[in-house]
Amino acid sequence: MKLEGKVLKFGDKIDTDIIIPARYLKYTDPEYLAQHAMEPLDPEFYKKARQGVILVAGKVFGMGSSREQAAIALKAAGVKAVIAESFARIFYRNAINNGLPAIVLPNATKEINEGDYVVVDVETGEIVVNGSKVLKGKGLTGMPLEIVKSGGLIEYLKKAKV
Amino acid sequence: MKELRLPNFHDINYGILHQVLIEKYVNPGEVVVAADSHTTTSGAVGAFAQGLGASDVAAAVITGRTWVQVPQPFKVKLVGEPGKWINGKDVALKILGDFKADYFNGMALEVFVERPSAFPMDYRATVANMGIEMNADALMFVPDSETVSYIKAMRGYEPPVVTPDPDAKYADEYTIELNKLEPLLAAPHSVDNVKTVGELEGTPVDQVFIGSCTNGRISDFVMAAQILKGKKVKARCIAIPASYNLFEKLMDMGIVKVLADAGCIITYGTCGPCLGGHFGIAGPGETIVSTSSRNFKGRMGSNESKVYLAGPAVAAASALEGKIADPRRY
Repeated sequence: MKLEGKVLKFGDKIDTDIIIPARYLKYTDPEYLAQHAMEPLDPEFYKKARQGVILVAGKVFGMGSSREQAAIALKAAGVKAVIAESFARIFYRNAINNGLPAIVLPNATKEINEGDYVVVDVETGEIVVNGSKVLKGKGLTGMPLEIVKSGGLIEYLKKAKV
Repeated sequence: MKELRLPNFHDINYGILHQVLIEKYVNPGEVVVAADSHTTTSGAVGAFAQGLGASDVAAAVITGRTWVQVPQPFKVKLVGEPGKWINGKDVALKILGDFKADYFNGMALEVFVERPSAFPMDYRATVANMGIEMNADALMFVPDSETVSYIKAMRGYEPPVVTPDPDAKYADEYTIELNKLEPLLAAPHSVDNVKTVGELEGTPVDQVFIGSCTNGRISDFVMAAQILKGKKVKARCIAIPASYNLFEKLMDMGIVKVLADAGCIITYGTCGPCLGGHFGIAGPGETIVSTSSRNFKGRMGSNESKVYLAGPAVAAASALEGKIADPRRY
């Protein structure tokens, strides 16, 4: 499973109140949530992400709230995968549970720049930057991989007929 | 709801999930999952408690199972006794200031209290609550005499006690001398941007919030009332107990009247303005001192507001003076 796109880059400790502010949580339409994704840091984020992008970030990406809308909003905005130096535990699960691949790559923000074009292998964690530089991240295996391939946890459970 | 025949359905007039859980349900050694990040609060009574997203919780309800990545244990020791205006918030902020918000990712903190009664359940709940702010996978207080007497007082039975093996291995350990702590705050816009009250004293404040699942318990309001009694607040002050049970007790104790007479706005147990939902949303340019757990940009309302996190003593003193103030003068 390979995903590719231009990079939008953020720093450390991007929290869930940045990813989707609480005042939008009463809405359930993913498209509406997407329009407000990352709004406190970059009101233009939705426009930039439309083309289909890979998000690169620093430490504990998605820290804070358990709001699943954080993963839903990013995915609906056009984010194909998130590469971060580390993830907050709940966001990492929420991303996978909504079919948004999350790849851990130490030094991600040093190795990859805004506007780079990256190809991500979700299974091996291999990341090719601008067609030349090859980086090795932590890909998804086992159940998390199966969940992502199914498009999310709900679809996975339906398929598994539990 | 009747159709679903839920045996333990709590409608409005109960309070915040995390407070209701420790009052009524959770025992030491249990595994708790719930669809809110501050589920870590149940670590106060020695449970392994994690917040999960809504889909994850739905899957756990349907299948009766979930999965966890086994965290590395890390030992924290609390020794001595805290000073008059110090409580759990200062301990949580001390840890966040010393280690920063990403350090404990993938670890579970086990907190050992040297003198159990010197660090009561309210204080423990605040520290466990902010385990998620430390990005810890879990934060558990090792059950002791305080845990047993709290559960016995709340529910009338002695809980089973589960404690770590004496030869348990820890990634590392860290000791806090409670008597050396001074009142701390987290300055905007990060929970680990920790400062002493002396560094921030005099900063003008528009609103003070005392409450939330972090610091909305009896001892928090008693501490605030000691400072506010017989005086009038200069900043807007909103006080919200974390559960209806606590609200009732505070009424019986006369604390609600003390706070109301001082000019505070008081309401029944809800999250209040903590997440910018209702009851005191921060406007552009406003500065808030809040006893809640997060001061991220835009957390309590406007992206152009600033939130300082503090314990109830700093919050009450700041409400009184209309600026960040040191409670040790009172």
